[in-house]
Formats: sequence, C-alpha cells, structure tokens
Amino acid sequence: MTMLEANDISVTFGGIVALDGLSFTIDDGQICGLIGPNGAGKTTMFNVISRIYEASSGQLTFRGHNLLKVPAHRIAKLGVARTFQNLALFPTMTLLENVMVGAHSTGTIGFARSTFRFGTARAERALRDEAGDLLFALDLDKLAFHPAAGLPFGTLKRLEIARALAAHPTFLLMDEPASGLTHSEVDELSDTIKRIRDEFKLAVLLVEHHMAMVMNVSDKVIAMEFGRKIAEGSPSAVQNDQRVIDSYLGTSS
Amino acid sequence: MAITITESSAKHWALRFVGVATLAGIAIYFASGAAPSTLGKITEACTLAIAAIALNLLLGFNGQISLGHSAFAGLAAFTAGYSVNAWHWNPWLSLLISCAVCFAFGMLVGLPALRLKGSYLALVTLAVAFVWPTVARKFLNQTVKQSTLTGMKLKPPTWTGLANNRADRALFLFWLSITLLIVAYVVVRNIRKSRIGRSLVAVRDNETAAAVMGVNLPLTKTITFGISASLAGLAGWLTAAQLTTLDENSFTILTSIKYLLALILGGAATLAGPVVGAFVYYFVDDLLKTNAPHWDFLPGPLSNGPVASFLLGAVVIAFVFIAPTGFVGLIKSQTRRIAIVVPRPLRHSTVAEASVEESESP
Repeated sequence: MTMLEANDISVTFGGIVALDGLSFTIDDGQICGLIGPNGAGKTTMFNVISRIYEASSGQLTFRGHNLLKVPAHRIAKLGVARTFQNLALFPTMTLLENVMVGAHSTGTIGFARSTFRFGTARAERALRDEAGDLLFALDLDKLAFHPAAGLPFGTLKRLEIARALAAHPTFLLMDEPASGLTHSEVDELSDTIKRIRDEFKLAVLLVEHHMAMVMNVSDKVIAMEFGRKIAEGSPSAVQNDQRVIDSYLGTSS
Repeated sequence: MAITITESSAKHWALRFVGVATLAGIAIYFASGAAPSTLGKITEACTLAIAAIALNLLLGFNGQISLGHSAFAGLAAFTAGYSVNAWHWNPWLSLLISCAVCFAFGMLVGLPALRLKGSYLALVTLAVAFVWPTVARKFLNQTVKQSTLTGMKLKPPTWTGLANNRADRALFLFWLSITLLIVAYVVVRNIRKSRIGRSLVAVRDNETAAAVMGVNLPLTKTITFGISASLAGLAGWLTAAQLTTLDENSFTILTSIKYLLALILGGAATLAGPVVGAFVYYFVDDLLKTNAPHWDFLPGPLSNGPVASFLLGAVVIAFVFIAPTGFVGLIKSQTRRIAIVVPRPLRHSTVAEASVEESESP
C-alpha cells in the first residue's frame, strides 16, 4: 500500500530551483534509495518531508495526511523519523537521554505534570527501559551514560538511528548513513537497515552515495539530477539506465 | 579506588539523607542562636539563590539568556507591596498573584525570544531591565504619589508562636526564605528530570533536531520563560517581604547581573549550582564590604569603599579561570575520587558496569 506520495514537489530558494516537480511514491515496508550527484536536491527533499523547508508547490501525502500542512513538531507523532547527514545529536546529553528525547512524541506528560511530578514515575521507568533496549539493539549500551560529545563518528551515526527508532516510526528517513564509516561499518549498516525494517516494520527512504550499499539494501531506487527525477525502478534497472550512468554513476571500464 | 554508589539504591538514599540532615542541622543551628542581622543576611542569600535558580532554568537548561530577571523580581515586589498596602490584600494571596503576573509577563517577553538568540536576546532583555526602573518611578509618582512604596510588613502568623518584633520577624523570614528556596529548587529539579526537562536541554543543544523529535519549540520556549519569570517573581516577593521600603533602585540591571554572576559562579545547568553560587557570591561580597574599609595598608584611592567591588570582580574573574564549570563542577571533580554516584543499570544489562563519565545527577 502506498505510504508516502509526493506529487510535483518544487522548492525554490530565491530564484534557485532546488526541486523541480518531483513525484514519487513509497510503499509500506519498502526501502527506497535516493541517489544523484551532489546538489541534485536529495537532502532538500528530506527537509521538505521533515518540514524543515517549505515546498513552493506540490502535494505531499503521508497515510492520508497532507504533510505540507503539518507543523514540524507533529511529524514525529504521525510516524516520520529521520537521521541527519552531519549529525544533529544533543551533545551534552547522555546516549540514553538522547534516545529518550527521541521518544518525545510518544509521551504525553506536559509542563504541569512535570513541574509537580504528578504521576510521572511509571512513564519514566517504561521510557528508560525502552530506550535502554534500543541502545542494546544498536550495540550502544556500554556507552549509555556517556555524553554524546566526543564519541567516534560511527558510534554517533548508530545513536542517530537509535534515537529515530525511539519515536516508533513507520517511515524512517536516513540521510547518508554510510558517510564517514569504514568499510566494515558500511557492511554492518546494510544489515542493520534491513534488520530494523523487518523488526520495526517500517519503510525507509535512504539518501546515499555508497552505491554498493544502496543497490544491496534498496527495493527501489530513485535517481535525481538538478532537482528532477531521471530514473526510478529496481536497483538493477536504475543501475543500467543510460541517463543515470551519464550523469552520476559513470562507466567503470 | 572510589566508592561506587548506584542511583536510588539504599546507599544513595542514605547519602541523600545525610546531606539533607546536615543542611537542616546548619539551618537549625543558625535559627537557634544567630543574631537577627545574620539571619537577615542568610535570608538575602536565599533570595538571591531563588533568582539564580530561576535564571538557571532558562539559561542553564534551555539556553535562553535573560538580563531582564531583575524586572520580573521588581514587578513581583511592586505587585505585592502595592496590593497589600493599597488594597489590603492578604500577603499570601499576593504571593500567588505576583507569580502569576510574572508568568504572564515572562511569556510576553519570551515571544521575541522565539526569533532571537544569544547576544540579540540578551539585548532585548537588557532593554526590559533598563525600562523597569523608569516604569517603577512613574508608578510611584503618579499612582502611589510617594517617593517610595512601603514593603509588605509581613507578620509571622500566630500558629508559629512568634511575636511581631525584630528578632522574631527575622527568624520567620529566615525559615520562609528557606522554604521558598526548597520550593524553587524542587520545581526546577522536577522539571529537569522529566520528559519536559529533557526537551528543554534538547532545544538548547540542537533546535532543529529537537523539533524533528516532536518538541514544540515556540510553546516550550515561552512557557519556560514564563516559569523562570515566575520563579524570579518569588524572589521579588521575598524581597518585598524583607524591605521596609521599595523604590525603583531596588531592582536595576545590576541586580540581573548579580543573578547571572551567582549562577555562573555556582555552575549553570547543574541543579545545585545556582544555590551554591548565590551563597558564595553573597558572603564573599559581604565579607569584602565589611572588612575592606578597614584595610589601612592599601594606598590612597583604594583605601575605602571601592576596593570591595574591585576585589569581588577579581575573585569572580579568578574563579572563572580556576573552575570554568563553576563551584559545583569543582566539587564534583574533587569528590569523584572518594565516591561516585552511577545511574541504575539498564534493563537486561549483560554488561556488569556501564562506563560513567559525566552524568548530571547530584
């Protein structure tokens, strides 16, 4: 079933066209790779979906909700979570707390109850346990009480995934999760992405330059250039598409 | 090897109990023997501590700077003083109203904070602090038609068994200020250790990420500003309870800077920091002011009053170099060698001991 439907999305920044009438759909449980040269508009599309940028025109529907009308902080509640390309963690907080903030949208305790600590203990305990489980799942439990600042890049990338999963998303946006990782970490990441898709039953939109990984994990690949879609289909179809080869992949002779 | 104490374990509770009992013992010691003037000083230090706690919630945990907290304290003090004198309100009712007024006013000042950050926000709140004395003067001239506003003349309630004389009033204010300090501390502690508290720190650390996690930025920032302002109002009300007369010079920009210094000295973004900082600041200042005028060995222009403020400044600068994380940070790094409190292990933990570097729990 179609989960996300983008229809004719355009974004302009003062005359510069970042996205030019992009349309695509993503189904439940699908891993969709989004590829293209730098500046093609991949991260812009991400930021449109997570409501950091405003689309100038077009429609974006997620499970029947008009996403372009939803404020940024409601996205998580609808089931959309994301990771960031250059890490957007909370550096002074511990790894456990980072993941607990990730679950913010699942909580209901507001200012009044927090101030007077009125019936918050049980929710706190459940949240802590659940965040701990996620740290275990991503092999971060040994660092649970360590602040995020100063940890290795690969570790923090995993923390971003754990934090995003804490919101119980049905749709996970991953912005270049493999960048900066070592070869063995990339292999591990491919497995992790497939594992979380199956375990947490979610769809993934993946922006990535690491072609081997994209082609390995994706059910479907969308190739972009200059804010437009130039190819869409199965990994092998996109890989052999002449326009994609010309503009991005190049020929390996 | 340091002793490891697990958070919320029996040992940790025992440690907490000893800590609270020691503090209570010190308070009782002072209450039972100290001169009214000494009690008055402790009351003033508690008042400063409440204001520093208020600023800590906003600046330390939420990352929004305010130099306008003197105006909130002033607003509360004037609301209390005027409503009790002119309308004969019950002082306790005026406490609630003062805090409510400050909450509303704080949310209002918090609105520009939604678009401004860092030094720009500092400037806007600085303007609030500058405008307040002028507003207060106009109010005194036109509404009260006197040069000063009379304080609340708070009397000890009869159930306390205290008489309405200077010594008993000082004793009453002493206990009252400690009670309100505990209230302010507990409020901020509760907030920090909750879902909302984590979202405040998340907003401070990375706004965009916090919004993506579902934190409503405008709401969170304005309400935090409101709560912080109403806690500053608590300090203002307490000031009105101590002073016999109030005028526009009771709450100037210097008062705001004092709040800020107390917070930085103690350690921002720690729970105990503002309290420790306020007491250190107040009593170092007091010590210098009392003793410096008698230091005959100092050369001519320094031999009188100004040397106290000069030395206080020097102490503050030196301290920021010695302990950039504040007094509490210094204490933590020293006591770490003796005992360390570690968080409870995670559920199903297969790891015997999770490594602990910095966790923010006293």
